[in-house]
Amino acid sequence: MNAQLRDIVQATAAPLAVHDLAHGYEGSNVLAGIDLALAPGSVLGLIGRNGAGKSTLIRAMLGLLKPMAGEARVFGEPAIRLSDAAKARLAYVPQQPEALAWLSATQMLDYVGRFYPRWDAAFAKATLARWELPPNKLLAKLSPGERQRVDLIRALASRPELLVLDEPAAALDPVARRELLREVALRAGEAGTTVLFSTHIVSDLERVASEVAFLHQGRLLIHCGVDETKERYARLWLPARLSAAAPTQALSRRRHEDGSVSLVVERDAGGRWTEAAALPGARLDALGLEDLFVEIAE
Amino acid sequence: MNAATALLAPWRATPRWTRWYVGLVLVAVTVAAVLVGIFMHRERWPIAVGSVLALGEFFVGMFLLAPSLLLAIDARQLCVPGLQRATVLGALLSALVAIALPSLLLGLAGADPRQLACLLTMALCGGLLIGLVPSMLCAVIGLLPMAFNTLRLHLDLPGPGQPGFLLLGTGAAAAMLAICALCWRRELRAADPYRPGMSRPMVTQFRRAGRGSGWAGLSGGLPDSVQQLRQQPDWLRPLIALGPSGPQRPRYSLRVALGGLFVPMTPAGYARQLAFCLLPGALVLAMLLAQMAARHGGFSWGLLSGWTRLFAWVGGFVSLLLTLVCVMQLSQRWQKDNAELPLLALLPGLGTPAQVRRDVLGASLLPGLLIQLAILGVVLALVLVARLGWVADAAVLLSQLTSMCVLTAFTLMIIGGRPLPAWITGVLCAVCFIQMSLSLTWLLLDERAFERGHGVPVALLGASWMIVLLALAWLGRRGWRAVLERPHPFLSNRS
Repeated sequence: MNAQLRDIVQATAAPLAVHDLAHGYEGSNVLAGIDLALAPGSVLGLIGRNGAGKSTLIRAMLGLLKPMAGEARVFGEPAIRLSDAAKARLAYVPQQPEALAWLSATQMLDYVGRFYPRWDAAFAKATLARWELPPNKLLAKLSPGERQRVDLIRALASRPELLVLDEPAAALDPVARRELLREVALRAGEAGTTVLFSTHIVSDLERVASEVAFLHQGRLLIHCGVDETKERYARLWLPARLSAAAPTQALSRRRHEDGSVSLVVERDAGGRWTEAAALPGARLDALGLEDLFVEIAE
Repeated sequence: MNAATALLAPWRATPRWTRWYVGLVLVAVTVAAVLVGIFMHRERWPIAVGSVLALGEFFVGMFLLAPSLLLAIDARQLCVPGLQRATVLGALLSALVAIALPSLLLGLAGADPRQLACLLTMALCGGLLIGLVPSMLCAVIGLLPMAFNTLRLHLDLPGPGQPGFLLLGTGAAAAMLAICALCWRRELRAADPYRPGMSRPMVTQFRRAGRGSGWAGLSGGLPDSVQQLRQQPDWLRPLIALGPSGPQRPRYSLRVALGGLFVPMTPAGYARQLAFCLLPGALVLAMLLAQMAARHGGFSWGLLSGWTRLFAWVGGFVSLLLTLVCVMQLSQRWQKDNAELPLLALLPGLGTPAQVRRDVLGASLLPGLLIQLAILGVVLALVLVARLGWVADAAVLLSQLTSMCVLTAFTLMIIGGRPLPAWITGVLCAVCFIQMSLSLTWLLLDERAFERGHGVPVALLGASWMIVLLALAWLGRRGWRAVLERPHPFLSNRS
């Protein structure tokens, strides 16, 4: 591929995409055949329970671990062998960041900024002051929340086209969380930054995400627009006498003590609910995002 | 609470791995004491056996009794009725048994039980003191036995077994116990006793009970670098020179990012760290000189040249220590997937994977090897000038080479993603340590070993060196191939 063609491919490729990705630790499967692609400018909220594999998926997507199978691409390049040009276009904040604990916040931002061609030093300095972070205190001596915010500044100051945040709000207080979400929404809305963030907090996801991906037991069960979820998924309740009619295809299935069954069902390609929903005595309930998450994860 | 429960309280309140360490030390010390008792001269055996047992008492005080403080703190904070008093009683009763039992047994065998009890009490109190005083004072306490020996020579103080030692030892033990009690009380009443800092005691700083961690688990590895930095006072923080870092100086930048021993510092930073490291060394040297002056009535170059062996011996262990610290730091860096590795993996400007690989090895391995090379040069020059014979020269050379090979092999294994399991690492390090101790101590002290008909043991020792070096070469080759196979060197070894 000549250089010009490569540039075109890289410019038009999905910022982040994985195909048939699988990974595991010590004999257990953490990720099983994940297919996921982020559209440029989208904000994807990755949601799932603890241990669902969110951090592993993010790390595999960015080439921070070598998956057992499948491939991950960032701006069209194999994630495991990224070029400097691709690295300059992305920023990642891990869960509970601990990097460069021997530097102060100012030193860390100064050090990292030297590597990024589009580094916004003024933004870094101003945000450090606005978020009232001690500039000269060693990172090791900052609280987890302060540490997380310094790392968020580091990621945002590089003016990335792709921003990947692993549980960014986990250690933040409500005010800091609100500020972060505002910043993410601003970046996505005005600069067209593509954002992927994992979270447990459904309200955060509803506030800024345009898409949601639900990871459960290593599988991607849902990937759609946040607004689509209410239209597309519902809870089907069938009384005991109809439990035999329960569809085999369901995102979750729960049998109650009285023999009745609750299932999370999805509309088919033609936009129709499963036939069991039309049976007399069956009940179909609309689900909010949080209810949907709890129904599937429970 | 009955006596048996009180006696077992410190044992039960100690993490499992600490109990293992202490148990092993006590068995080793008992075996050593029995051997010393059998083979030692009839007149000198009680003090020699007592000194060996004192080492065990020191460990009991440090790792078994001092951690009782944690139980007492928790009991106080959780308002558990009676537990705080039971903890103190348990610690006191255990200390009493640990001192009285060997003293009485050896008393029955003909030693003076009062002298022995006094020596053992001093050792136990010393261990307690190390665990309970602010951690910044521990180095000073470690130098106390040497300071005592130095003072003894100048002030004509009685040593163990001599008349007057009983009074002196009892006084010293009482003073140590009083300091321990004060420290115990201070920590018990502190609002936040587990707050990190060098003014806090070691037991509260390393209290995790996990394998390789915890107070006695220090031998299993260095505390986490972030934890270490949190404990340091601000005046000791590293003054890092970011100066030329950036894409144009990737190796320098990687040294900044990897931190630890080889992080680039400003001249003031280097001076401060060097002073901090050299101060205890200077104190030891001063005390050795003072001891020499007391024994020989002054200094002479002839006597000082006799120290060549000591310097060569110390050089060997400094080099091995440097290797261990470097390897542990590197191992910690490559274990964390939320710290430097993801940052470096996604940092633009470090170049192609081949360049990055070269620079990472350069930044993590070269500084250590250069320091070890300098130590080798100095130590080799010393033994050559002292004309200790070719066997001693070879011992010095081989011990330094082994340290360098361990550093190289382990660095390659870690960066290549194939770190050895902890127990194999432990065994290998123990083998290197024992081999080095044997070779340096024996061959440096007895430079005519080969000529004296000890050719076979020397040859066996040489063969064992070769086996270790071959094993390290194999590990290094395996590590190098793993480094080449990895798509980039910043993949965590946790996954």
